[in-house]
Parts: sequence; C-alpha cells; structure tokens
Amino acid sequence: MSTFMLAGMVFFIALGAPIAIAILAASIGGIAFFTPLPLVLVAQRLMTTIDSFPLMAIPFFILAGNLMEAGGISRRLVEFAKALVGGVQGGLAASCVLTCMIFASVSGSSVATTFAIGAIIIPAMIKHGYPKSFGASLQATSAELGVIIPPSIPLILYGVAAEVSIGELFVGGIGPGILIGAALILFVLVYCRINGWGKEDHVGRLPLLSATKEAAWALAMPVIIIGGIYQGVFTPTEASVVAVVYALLVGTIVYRAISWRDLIGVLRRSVIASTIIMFIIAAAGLFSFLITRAGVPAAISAWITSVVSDPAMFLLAVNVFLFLVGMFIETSAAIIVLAPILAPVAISFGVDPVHFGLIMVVNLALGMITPPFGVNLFAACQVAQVPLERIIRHLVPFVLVIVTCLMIITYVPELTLFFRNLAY
Amino acid sequence: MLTALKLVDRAVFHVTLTLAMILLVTMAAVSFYQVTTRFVFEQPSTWSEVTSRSLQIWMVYLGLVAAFRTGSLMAVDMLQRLAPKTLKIVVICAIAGLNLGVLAVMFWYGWSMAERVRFQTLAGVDNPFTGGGISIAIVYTAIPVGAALSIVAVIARFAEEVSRASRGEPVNEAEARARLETEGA
Amino acid sequence: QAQQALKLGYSLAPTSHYGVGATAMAEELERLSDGKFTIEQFPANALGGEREMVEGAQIGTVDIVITSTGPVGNFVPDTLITDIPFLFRDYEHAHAVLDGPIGQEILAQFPNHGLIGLAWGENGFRNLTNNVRPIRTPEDTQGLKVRTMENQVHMRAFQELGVLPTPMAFPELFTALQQGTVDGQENPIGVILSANFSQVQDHLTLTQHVYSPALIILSPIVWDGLTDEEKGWFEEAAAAGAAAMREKVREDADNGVATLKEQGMQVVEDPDRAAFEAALQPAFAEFAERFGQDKIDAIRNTGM
Ligand code: NA
Ligand code: NA
Repeated sequence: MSTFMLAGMVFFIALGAPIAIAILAASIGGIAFFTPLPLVLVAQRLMTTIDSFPLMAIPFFILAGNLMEAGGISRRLVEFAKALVGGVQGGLAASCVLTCMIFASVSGSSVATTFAIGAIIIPAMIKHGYPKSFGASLQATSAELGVIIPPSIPLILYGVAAEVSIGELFVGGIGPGILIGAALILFVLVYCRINGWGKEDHVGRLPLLSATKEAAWALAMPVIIIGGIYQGVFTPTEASVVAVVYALLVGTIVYRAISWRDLIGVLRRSVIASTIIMFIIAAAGLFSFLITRAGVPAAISAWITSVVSDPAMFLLAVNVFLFLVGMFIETSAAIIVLAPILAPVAISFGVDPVHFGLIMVVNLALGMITPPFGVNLFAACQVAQVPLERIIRHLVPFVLVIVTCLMIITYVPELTLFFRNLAY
Repeated sequence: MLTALKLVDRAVFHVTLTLAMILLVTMAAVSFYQVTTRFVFEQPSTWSEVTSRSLQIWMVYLGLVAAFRTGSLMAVDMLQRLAPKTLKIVVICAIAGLNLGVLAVMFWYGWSMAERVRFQTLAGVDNPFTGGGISIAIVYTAIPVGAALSIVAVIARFAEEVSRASRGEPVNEAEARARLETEGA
Repeated sequence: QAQQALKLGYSLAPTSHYGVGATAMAEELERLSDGKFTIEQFPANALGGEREMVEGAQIGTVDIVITSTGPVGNFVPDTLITDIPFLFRDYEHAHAVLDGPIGQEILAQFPNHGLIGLAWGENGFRNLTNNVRPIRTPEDTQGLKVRTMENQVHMRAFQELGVLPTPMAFPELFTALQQGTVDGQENPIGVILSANFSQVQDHLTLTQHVYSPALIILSPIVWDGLTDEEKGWFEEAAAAGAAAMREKVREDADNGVATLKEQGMQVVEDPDRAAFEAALQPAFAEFAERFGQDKIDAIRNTGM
C-alpha cells in the first residue's frame, strides 16, 4: 500500500495536480484499494490535523509577516541588516540570512519566516540582478533558521513527544542556529563572488547609525516577543498573535504606512497563503496516518537499530533515514511520529536527548527545502512567483551547506550542549 | 444561462473569501483576547482556545475556494507549461477531474462524518444560550461546505483554463511570467 | 482460522502504565484466543490525540484505545461524573465503585454512543503543583493561575477555590510553567514525573483532588464481528490489562513522590482535605443538580 501511495503521489504531482490534491488522491486510493478503513477517515484527518493550537502560529505569523511588509517593518529590518553586513559583494544575500536570523528569534515557524522576509528581500535581490531562483532558494533555506533558533514549534513538539525539557531544547538551538546562519553567510559571499552577482550591493545602503534608528521599532519586536515569552506574558504560539497586533499598531499608528485598502489586500493574501499551507499539512496528516498505521516508520526504525551497533554509525543512519523522510513528510508530522521511537534508542546509545532533538529538528527542517514535499520551498516559490522546478538547480548547493552543518551538529555535541550546560 | 453561472461563480468567490478574511481577523482577536485576559486582567478565558481553533478550520476550508479559483494551490506545473496544445488540454482536464474527484470525496464523506459525530460535544465550551454542549459537527461541517463551494471554483477555473489553452494563451500567471522571461532573454 | 491483528493506540510512551496495560492485555488475549487475536501497539499519539482515537474507534480506523476519561465525556456524558473532585476517598474506593455495579452501568451506556467500554483502567489521583507557595488549605490557592484540562467540571471546581483555571495545550505547558505564564498545573504523579515538571515547579501538594480513571475502549465494528465466546475473551483480557495498569500506577506513585523530592520539590503530604471539601460546597450543589444527588451519594457510600 505504501509503495502504491508514494508512486501515486509522485505521479499526480508530476502531472501538475496541486500537491495537497495529489497527496489526498493517493491516500484515498490507498484507503479504498488496500485497507478495510472507511473513507470518513479522510474527513476526520482533514479536520483533526489542523485542529491544533500550535499550528495556529502559521496563519498568524503569515499575517504578521504581511503586515510587517505592508507597514515598512520588514524593509527597515532588511535595511538594518544591509547596513551591518551588506557592504561587500553578495552583501544583500548575506543580509537575507541575517534578517532571517533576527526574524527567527520572533517566529517559531519557518514558513512564516519565508513569507515575512521573502516578500521584501526577493524583490530587492531581483532588482540588484540576482536570479530569481537563487533568491527563492536562499530565502527558503535561510527561513529554516525559524525553527532552529528559539522559539520553535518543532522543538516544542519534539520536547512533548520525547519527554525532554523544552526550555533546554530552546537553549540548545542557539549554537546550531548561529552555526547555520554563519555558514550560510560565508557560503553566499563566496558563491556570489564566483557567479559575479551582487557587485553593486554596497550602493544605497544607509549608515549603520541611521539604519538602526530607522529600524528601532522593528528591532524592538524581537525584544518584545522574546521578552514576552521569557517573562511568561504569553506562550510561544500566542507570541504569533502578539506579533500580528504589534505589526498592525506600528504599521498604522507609528509609520502610518497601512491604509484600509492595504489592509484588505494583506488579509486576502494571508488567507490564501495560510490556506495553501494548512491544506497541505492537513493532507499530509492523512498520508502520515496511513503510513504509520501500516507500521512503516516503526519497521524502518527497528531495522536501523538491528543493523547498527555503535553510536556514530547510529547517528549517521538516523540522519540518512530522516533526510529521506524529510523529502516526503511534513516536519511536524514526522517529529510526532518518529521522536518517541528514535529518542529512546538514541539515549540507549548514550546520545544526550537534547542533542538528539536538535539533530532531528535540523534534519527535518532540511526536509522543508527538499523536493518533492517541502513547505518552505512551496512558500518561497509562492513569494518569488517562480515555478518549483526552476529553483532546484540553485537549491543543491544550499542543501549541501546545511548537510555539512548537520554533520558538524551531529558529531560535535558541545555545539548544542555548551549553552544548555551553561544555563542548566 | 452562462451569465447566471458567471454570477454564481463570482458570488461564491467573493462571499467565501470575505468570510475567510473575517474569520482570520476574529481568530486573531480571540487569541489576543486570550493573552490579555490572562495577563492583564488575571481572569483567564476558558473558551478562547477551542473557539479560535474551530474558526481556523472554517477559515481554511472557506479559503480553499479562493485558492482553487485563483489557481494558487502549490503545484509543479512544468508538464503543463511545456506540453503542446492538445496534450496541455488533456492534462488540464485530467487535473480538473482529479480535483473534482477529491473534492467529491471530501464533500460526501465530510458530510457523512459530520452526521456521525453530531452527538459528540466540543471540549471546553458550553452553548452560551442553552448551557448545554456544542456539537463538534459544527466544526466538521466546514469540510463538506468548503468542498462543495470549491467544486464551483474548480469548474469555473477549468472553463477559463481550457479556453485560454485552446487560444494558445498562457493558462496561469506563472506561465505568463515564464513566457515573458524567455521572450525577454 | 483467520488471524486478526488489532491496532491499539494510546497517548503515552510504551514504558508508561498504558504501555504496561496494553502489553498485559495483548498477552492475555493472545493466550485466550490461542493466537487468533494479536495486538499491535501505537504509543505516543501515533494514531492521533485521545479525542481523535476515541472517534477513530467509533468510525473503525482504530480498533482499541486506552485513554483517560478526559475526551470520553464528550462522547458518553455519563463518564463525566468521575470528574467531580474529592468523589473518591482512595484507590480501594475507586476500584470498588468502577468495578462494581455503578462503573459497569456506565460501561453499559457506551454502545448507545457507538463505542464499547471494555474495562476501567487508571491514571491515578491528580495532584497540584505550583511555583508560588506550599498549599495546605483553600486560602493558599487564592489567585493562582493553574493550567487545567478543558473540562467544565474541573474548571468550575477550581474557580470555587479562587484558582484562575487556564486551559492550555499540553505541548505549551512546560514553557508556560518555566516562564510563569501560569503558576501551576495538576496531573497524576506519573505525568508530573515524565514531563519533568520538577525542573520548573517548586511545590507539590498531594491534594488527590480528582481521581483520574482510564478506559479501555473497543471499536463496535470489531465487537459486532465477534462470537459470544470471543467477546468474553476481550473482556477478560481487558480486565487483565486494567489490573496491570493499576499496579504500575501504584508503583509509579509510590516511587514517584520520593523521586520528585530528590529532584528538589517541596512536598506537602497532608493538605486539609476537609477544608477543601467545605470550600467546594457551592460547586458540589451544582454538580448534584447536573449529575443527580442520588448517583453521587451511591458512589460516596460504596464500601462505607
Ligand atoms: Na524561531
Ligand atoms: Na522535503
């Protein structure tokens, strides 16, 4: 059944059907031909999968992102990042990474990060002569930081599923987040030099002091969001709606940039973008239910543990396995299914559960940009208005950068555990 | 006859999209109210979480209509863009058929699910008027309603795409942009 | 003789009391049926959350569910009566009620709501933790923000004690406690232990305010296909599972409090139960109206 569903899904996607419909059609076929299950299951999963409070952060962060864009907050954040690191060749691309790092400390979701920053930085990069597909790949990849730098929805899900302290996981995400951010900046600077892009990036930058002053309200946002979470004013999910209110107030009252007309447009875009993502997540919820019920993840995990005997090999095998899973399954669904199965095995091999959580989340965050199923990829294509297959070429080097970082995170546990041990 | 269909299509599109926009705003308002009642007024609200989750489900399935109508659902439409005219029309028909098939399942079994669970109540909220429970069928109904209205959107979109393709015009914005770029280069 | 592999789902880890109960039930069922029925376990919400799994049993996508009574009240309102605080004196009392006529009468209601209730399992008594002060009397609970389940009876009772009940998704709870978004939470000892709440909560009071049963539920679609003899096997196996579950809960509770103390929690072992019950009188009056004073009295008088 699983093979049939996978083949069906790939065929329908290749045909050009909407991805959510392709997943649903394959799953409906799987239910009807291979199981005694009733088709009302389709309706149940389409409702229950998105009947989740943590998932509400997605529409809210998308709305916040659109408001930040319309209200001039994103532009000022980008200006600030440009003033900081944008003076060299490829500086605009580096600014994209830095802006995503700043935004990641507000947002717990990668998709939302893509919408919020991509809408500003991708058009700017196109204006500076970067290929659209490079901009979209860079944006999709940098937005992964949204779930690695705390707060993070997937880290919360891992903490719950594997019974690990979420506070420790959040602190554990700082090291890997900085590593990936730094590696991406380094990579784009070299890559742009090789390809000859972004020679004029230093033009039109604001001096650091005035960029900082301009961006003061925008830079206050992470302070308010992180401060609010750590002061116990609101939960990481509720932070998304605080971001909406803050962006609305700053955009209308402080910057006076959002009109009624803009607001309608913002709402319209946010509804459609949220629907697209949530509908895919809902469809993936049905697909992963069927795969799980058929015992596939448990069988693969059992197989890994039966053939591997030392911790280093185990981590390598898990990474390969998660990479493959990440290609096809939505991150949250994969964590909920696999964390309770894999974390105990990792602990039995002597791997720290916080360290293992970061390995899982970084790897499955990579899954957000690996085709055929990658929500970040879909979101970035949507923002950049570029077809999916067009960005694959520029995506490959980014995937390699993240894989390299993943190996460092896997085999240098201190990177994750240093801050954790400092704080706890 | 055709004008009547066009009117239905436009009405369905505007009404569902407007409702979904209102739902998004309400969701945000309810969730923000949840933060303020707990932190500012120290009187945590007990109904807001389940309410905003339920609103979200309705927003998604009403929003689906606009997503279908504007052709914005994510897809890999390489085959469609590169295919010659006849094959392109065949592919458009196949995809529309697949969409309609899935939506029909969502409609039929969504309705049947809503009927089956009508005696199950939502956790955490009481009906403010009767004091009794609220049926979870209220939430499940979003799926058949959204699916039925999406069927209208898929048919309208299909008619548009076929007529564009048969005139040799690009069927969607992505294709239009792609053509512009290749012609420009 | 055709074999039948049944899918059993629950929300906790395989090592939890649910896992122990599921395994005991599986072994007993396999033994009784001479291998005809086997059980495949799906721990940790792999088949969905508790509400969804119960619904799944109803529509036939999950065969057996082990669940807390939390979501079951939305399907079978009669189970809600067990949510009344201080209804059960101790474990022996709870077992006598649930395994006796009252508990069996509630299970007999399940088929009317499209479910089969096989047996009463257990999560244990719920206890209160918080970060503000040690709690001995109702005065100590005034103004505390406590995360509760989305359960009208629980929330009503906590309001009566001056607590600000705050429903919150479990995934958000740890951070919320750590950052002080809420001051406290209430759960059985096993959950407090496995969720590492001792890292973020200073005080534990063994309030034993609510006894939390568990239920072993079977899909009516499986049940309707069984012979009478087979139905008997399922009931017997479920009883064995429930017994193993209760034993594990007892063990966890005994060792758990000691472990939580070692982890640095200040434990109040003898709160003023009589004072709490007195403070809850107005809420009890409402519950009597809702569930029937006769039914509540029948439970209270069991074994007296
Ligand atoms: Na983040
Ligand atoms: Na992927």
